[in-house]
Amino acid sequence: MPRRLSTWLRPAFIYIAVLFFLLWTLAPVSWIAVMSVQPEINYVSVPPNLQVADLSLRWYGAMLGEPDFLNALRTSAIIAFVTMVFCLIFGSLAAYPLARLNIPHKNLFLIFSVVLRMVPAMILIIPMFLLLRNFRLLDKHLGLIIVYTTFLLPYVIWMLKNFFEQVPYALEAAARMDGCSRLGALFRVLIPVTAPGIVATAIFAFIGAWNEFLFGLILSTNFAVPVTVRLSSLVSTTFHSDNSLVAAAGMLTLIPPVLLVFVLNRYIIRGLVEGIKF
Amino acid sequence: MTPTTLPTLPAPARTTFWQRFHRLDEVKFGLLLLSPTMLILLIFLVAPIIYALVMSFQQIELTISPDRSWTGVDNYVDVLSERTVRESVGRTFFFAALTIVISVSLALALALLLNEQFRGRGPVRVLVMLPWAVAPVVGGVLWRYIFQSNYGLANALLYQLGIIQHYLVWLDKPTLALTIAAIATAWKGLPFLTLIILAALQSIPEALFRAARMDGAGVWARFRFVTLPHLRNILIFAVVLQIIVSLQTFDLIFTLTRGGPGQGTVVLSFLVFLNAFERLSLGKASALAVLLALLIIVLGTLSFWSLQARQQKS
Repeated sequence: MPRRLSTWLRPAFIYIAVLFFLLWTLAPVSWIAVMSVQPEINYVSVPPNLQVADLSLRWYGAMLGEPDFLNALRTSAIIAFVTMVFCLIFGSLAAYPLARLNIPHKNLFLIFSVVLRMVPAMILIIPMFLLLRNFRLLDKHLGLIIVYTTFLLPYVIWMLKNFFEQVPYALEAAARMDGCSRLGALFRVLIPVTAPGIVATAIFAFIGAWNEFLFGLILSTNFAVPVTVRLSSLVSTTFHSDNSLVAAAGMLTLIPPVLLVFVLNRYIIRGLVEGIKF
Repeated sequence: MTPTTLPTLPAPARTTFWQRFHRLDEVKFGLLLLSPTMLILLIFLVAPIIYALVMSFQQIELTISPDRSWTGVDNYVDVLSERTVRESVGRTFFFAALTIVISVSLALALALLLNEQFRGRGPVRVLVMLPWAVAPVVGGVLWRYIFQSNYGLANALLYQLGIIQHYLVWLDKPTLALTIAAIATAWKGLPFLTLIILAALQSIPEALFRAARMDGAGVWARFRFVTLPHLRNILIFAVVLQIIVSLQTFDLIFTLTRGGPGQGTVVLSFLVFLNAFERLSLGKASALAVLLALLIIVLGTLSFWSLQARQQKS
């Protein structure tokens, strides 16, 4: 009798929990997804009166037709991509000696980069503004790229270091025996072998740059405004205008990183777990 | 007889840059590779931090004059005695505690769930990762639309279920708004915490569970005496991580409530922002930011060390 009870009780319990977590995860996103394809009058009425007949993508069309918003999407894409490339180059150059070579005070470097991960962006923002103003990099793509690369690097270094450490040393030694230089061993052996880890790190950097907000808000005014900043200004100024537009803008901002995570999920999960190992 | 001239040896070629590069010893080579990255970090991360420290000892009120003068620890004294700051500290701790409790307990539950065998586990594992990819700014927008008074999902659902008779205004009450901010922050942080707890769960040797089962341990006993001790470190780590994250929260609150109602959701990092970019008192803002950074680094480092010490022991 108790056994029969547990044969249906356990799955029932599991599926109720699954349902709860799916609702918890998806409800907020689903709601703006609904709002973004319905005219405002439908969801403002009490109770909401959602109509299949009113389904339309015209709010997406309107947002994509807006030069400011389109420019923001382009800016975010450029900045996130270049930041990703920079992170991989400088990250692997630093991670290689930390993982493989015998250098003095290695622990000091590692602890240094962990402490840097804890520094809140708020302490950096005023000096960063003055620094970029001196370099004439305010409101420029390059300015934001440098800033994003800098604050992502401490994470990237740790992830790559942990990936490099997993490669058997014999593989690298064999390459060196065959006449590969040390740098050649890094680029021809270590990096190809850790390709899944590199992909994970790359996505992490891309998403980190795409989703950043505070620096973009302060360091850009007109030209190089990232999409997160454009979205926040829509939210605060559209009290009387169409909320379907804001919802569509929100969807357009969240779709690229979410798509990346869904498609390359397997890599990301490994990468994230690697990034926190000490 | 003419003396035969011996062929002379060609003069030794000068070593090229690349030859010298490859002959560097390991230490120099390693430091050479490290140097560009370290240079970037020094210029764009360490130097700004030092500069913020310097500014925190200066009086810089851009609304009054562009001049700056040394004021010693006045900024710190001011900041610590201000009522707005004290209130903000209270709010920050309430917000952080709530965020940590919600996110860590839900993450533990979700990780235990995803560690079980059930149909559809693969897709569920992928779907619950979604909030991790969502920008905090977007997260604020999402939860704003859930709890919006005229067209929020919460009101619509509760009304249709007959739980409320008329639409409620959620974000107008400070404590409720702060609670919603904590829920939204927990929503955003949950996937990552779940992931690291799940990784720890999967590293528990299956043999331990079998042995416990043989000794007659039930579900609860197995959880209490096998699972939980193994998760101890990672749970501490999860709490530390959430302390760091929640003390830094700014983006999400910016789009969720803009610090409102009144000052109701002005947590410490938001207060730094207001001081710096609305009141333009850069000295005071810097002092507050330095205190915030110290708080985070001290809490973070203490737990990092205690974790490492424990790892080396075992």
